[in-house]
This record gives sequence, structure tokens and C-alpha cells, in this order.
Amino acid sequence: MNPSDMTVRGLIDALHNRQLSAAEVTEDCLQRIRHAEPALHAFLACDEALARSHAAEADRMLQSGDAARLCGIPFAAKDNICTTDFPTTCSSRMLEGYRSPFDAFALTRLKGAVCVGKTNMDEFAMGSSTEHSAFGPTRNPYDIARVPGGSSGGSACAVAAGMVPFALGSDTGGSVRQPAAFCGVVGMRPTYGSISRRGLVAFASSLDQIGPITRNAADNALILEALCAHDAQDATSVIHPRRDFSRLMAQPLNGLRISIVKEMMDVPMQSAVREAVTSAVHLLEKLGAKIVTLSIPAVADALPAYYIISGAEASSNLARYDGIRFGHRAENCTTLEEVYLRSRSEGFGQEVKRRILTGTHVLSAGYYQQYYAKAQRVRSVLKYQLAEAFRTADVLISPTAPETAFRLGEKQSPVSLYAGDIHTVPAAMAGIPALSIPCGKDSGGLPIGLQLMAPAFCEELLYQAAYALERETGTGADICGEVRV
Amino acid sequence: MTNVLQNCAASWDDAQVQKTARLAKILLTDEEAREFSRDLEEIFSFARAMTDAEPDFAPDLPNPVTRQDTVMPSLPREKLLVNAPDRTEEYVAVPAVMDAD
Repeated sequence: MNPSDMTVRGLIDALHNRQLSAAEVTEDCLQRIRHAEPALHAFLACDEALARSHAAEADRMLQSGDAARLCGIPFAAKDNICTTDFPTTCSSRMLEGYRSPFDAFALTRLKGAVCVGKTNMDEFAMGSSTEHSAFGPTRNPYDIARVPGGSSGGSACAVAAGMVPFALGSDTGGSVRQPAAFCGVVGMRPTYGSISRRGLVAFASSLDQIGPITRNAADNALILEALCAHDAQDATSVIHPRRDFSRLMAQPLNGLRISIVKEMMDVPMQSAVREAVTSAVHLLEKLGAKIVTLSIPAVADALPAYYIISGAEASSNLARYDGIRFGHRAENCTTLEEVYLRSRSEGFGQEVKRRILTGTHVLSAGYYQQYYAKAQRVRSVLKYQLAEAFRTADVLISPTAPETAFRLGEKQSPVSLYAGDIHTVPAAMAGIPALSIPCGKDSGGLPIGLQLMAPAFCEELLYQAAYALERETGTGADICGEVRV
Repeated sequence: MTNVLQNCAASWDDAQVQKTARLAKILLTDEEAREFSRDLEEIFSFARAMTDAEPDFAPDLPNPVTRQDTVMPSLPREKLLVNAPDRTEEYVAVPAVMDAD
């Protein structure tokens, strides 16, 4: 039994039946990290001694019979999720060395699981390639000259390369789903409010959500079940009405109404992506789904509206980084104003500054109506049109991204990078759940992601469709063998 | 009305970038301002392509969420001061806000 090749469910059985110990599972994971890390740079922090000590504690709990479900399972957390055991840097010089005084609420839901380290990301979650990390990029395990996607690139890479059986990422405009697509793994963005944002460093508060990244749909549903809980200290936290996400997984798709989103297929995309998504749709039809095509015109405006709204929220959220109570403070400042100006200029990278400038402008006097108010109207219309679409469809389908993983350094202009978010942004703007699953590879062997979207609180439908596809295509179990590192 | 049209056509010259940077409390060199002016011009022409859709219904309003104001222990001072760039025993230390006289 090689733990690196096992799914979360397989490991749970083996640990609770004492066929494997938490110490063995963690040791195997650490060995895998040591082997793959030099080429991939998925992690910013990894503490072997600490991991071993947590694994020993997990074994004690497993022995005593008083162990939570995920006890002894190793995992990694994106570096914008607050941990007391590791620094939380958000891949920024602004927070280099920052030690959170508390653990994120989501982490407290994974009782007994062994956090082995924090993963690399685009700085403050702003980016789609993990190239905007202040500490160097992460590489795609299928081709190390290419990006893993972003901003949760480190987490997606770590799961794809078999370093950890699951990882946590965060998704604001696609930052769990797109790297999951680029790395050939499963990434879920749950309904807004499902997972508490307490301890997730804020980028855009009306859009941010933590999401699990796993090798298959069944594991993903299991992790999501653990993470979802109401938190009285997050005013946007909801009580998810249907937390048994695995409930429909083995059920046939009989009559599940799946709709292609016309505007998401009309955009320019790599031909291999179009073919793979079309094949997946035919397969779902063969498995019993009813396929239609719906038009959602507001999708076309979702992308600029997203960059305006998220920029505005980012400029507000990142105002706290002022060099005063925590984070980077510039040296030899004589006035308070100088502390603010120089600390922020030294601490933030270029993409973060671009987003802050964008957001500051759209919120400023004279421009608010033209950009921000207009973007909010677009958002309302999009939500309305999606709700209308869900009267005749159970699930919407599209590619996760218009192309497969691009080369490091390939996207030079900001808008060329933003354009890749066209498929993922609408679900985030509407607060609905969306799942990315692998649905094939291009001629270069690079993974292609399929995106499924459902109404709020209907994650179980996404897992049902995903599981049916995986079962039919035989994917979602062993992926490590295909990875080049 | 003229104001609105002027705002629509606002271009991202270096002066506009520096003005926005001052509002955001970010210090930019002349070269940085030039680079950002190119980037922001591109970003905003992309943003201006957004069509204005007037919804014919009232948009959702947020529901105010409240909870009991129960006093709980605060985070320990020492754990919070660990991250302070400069500190005394009990306080975060900062440059003077006002002159002593």
C-alpha cells in the first residue's frame, strides 16, 4: 500500500482499520515532498518535525478510538489561510514572517488532520498563474516550463504531484478551479457563505471562498462536508441546508438537466478544450443527462465587472497594510505619512499595486457611478439571469478555462492574463457553487478542465455529475503516474 | 453632464496615476507611474466595454446579521505584539503623529 497513491477515502479506511499508521502516511508524504519540491516549488513552508509530532498525536487518537474522520490525513493550506504553526505570508513581502495569533475557522474543522505546510500563491490571491508570488513561481507538474495556474497554484500542484492527498485553496474569481484544471485535479468553489472566511486573508470579501482541491470528486465532497459549518464570527457565514454532498453520487443521472452556456462556448478557445468539453457533454448525455443550450447574455460583461468590483474591495481590504501594527514597515521613516507610503510601496508587488490603483480609482469621486455602480448592476442582472436559467436546467456546463497551462512568462500584459478568467468569474459573481474536474488532455499532455455550476446550495448535483463522468472514464484514482516529476 | 463625459474619457496619464496612488497611499517613481499608466489604460478600456444593463427589478439588499454582544476573552496582547514592527512592553511604537511642541 503506497500512501501517496491513495485517495483520502482509502487513507481514512486504512488509518481507522489500523492497516496504516498516521506516522507512515505522513512520512510517505514528506518523502514525496522532498522528491518533488526542488523542481516544483509548491510550498513556502513545510515543517517535517512538526508534521511528525502531529502525526504521532493523530496515532494516539486513532489508537484510543476517539479520532475524527480526517485524523492522520496530511494536507497543505494555501498561504492566505491563517495558521499558528506556520507563517502566513500571502506570498507577499508585506507579510513575510507574519505569525497569525489564531487558526482559520476552516482549519479547526479538520480536527486531527496533519497540516504539513503552506502553499505558494499569487500575492494576496491576485493572479491566475502563481507567477505573481514574491517568493518565486510554482511550476506545473505536467510540464515544469509551464504555470500551475493561480492563484492557488501551489495547492493544486501539491495534490497533482502526489505530495498531499488534499489541499485547501481559495477562490475569488476562479483561483481554486483554474489551477485545478491546469493541474488535472478536482477543485470546488462552494456556495458563497458555506465556509467561514474567518482566518482567510481578505482580498474581495463579497467573492472570497475557501475551496478543497483533491484527486477525485468523492474525496472533494468528503472534505467539503468537514469544512462547511456556520460561524457566528463571520457575518457572511450561512447554515448550509444540505451538507450531505455525497448523497447523490452513486445515483444515475436519469433526466438531470444539463445546459451548455452559449456565451461561454462562443469565446475563442484552444480547439482541444472545445473538443474535450464537447466529448464530456456527449458522455453525460449517454449516461442519462438531458442536454440543452441556454443563453445568459450577462456572462459577457461579468469579467470587466469582476475586475472593477474585486479591485474596489481589494483597495479597501488592503488599506490595513499600513506598516503600523503588523507586516512590513519601511526603515528610517520620520513621519506617519512616510510610514504608510514607503511601507506599502516596498511591501506590495506590481499586480497588487495595479489592483489597488484600479479599485481606488473606481471608488473615487467622479468615477464611482461610471464604473463601480455600473458593475454592481451587471452583477445583479447576472444573478437574475442565472436564477432564470436554473428554472430549466439543474447544472450548467462550460470549460474551466479557454486554454491549457501556458508557459511561465508568456502573459506579459495584465488584460491577457485577466481574459483567462472568463469562464470562472460568473459563478463567483453570483455566489453559486462551481466544480472543475479533469476531462482530458491536449496533444502536449496538458490537462483540460470541465466546469459544472449549480444553484446555490446544490453542490450535491455537481458531485453527482462529476462522479458519473469519473466512473465512466476511469479517472480520479491514480494520477501520480502521469505526472512528470 | 459635461463632467460625466469628461470622466468617461479620463485617460491614464502619469498625473492621473500619481493622483490615484496618493489616494491609495502608495509611492511611485516616475518610471513606475509610466508603466502603470500603460497598464491602467489597457485595464480601463477593457472595463469601459461593459454594457450598462438597467435591471427592471430591485437588486438584492443585504440582510443585517446580528449576534449577541457577549464579552469573550480577547486575543493575548503578547501574541498580537509579536508581529509589531516596533514595540515597547505593552504598545506598538510608531513615529510621532504630531510635533512635540
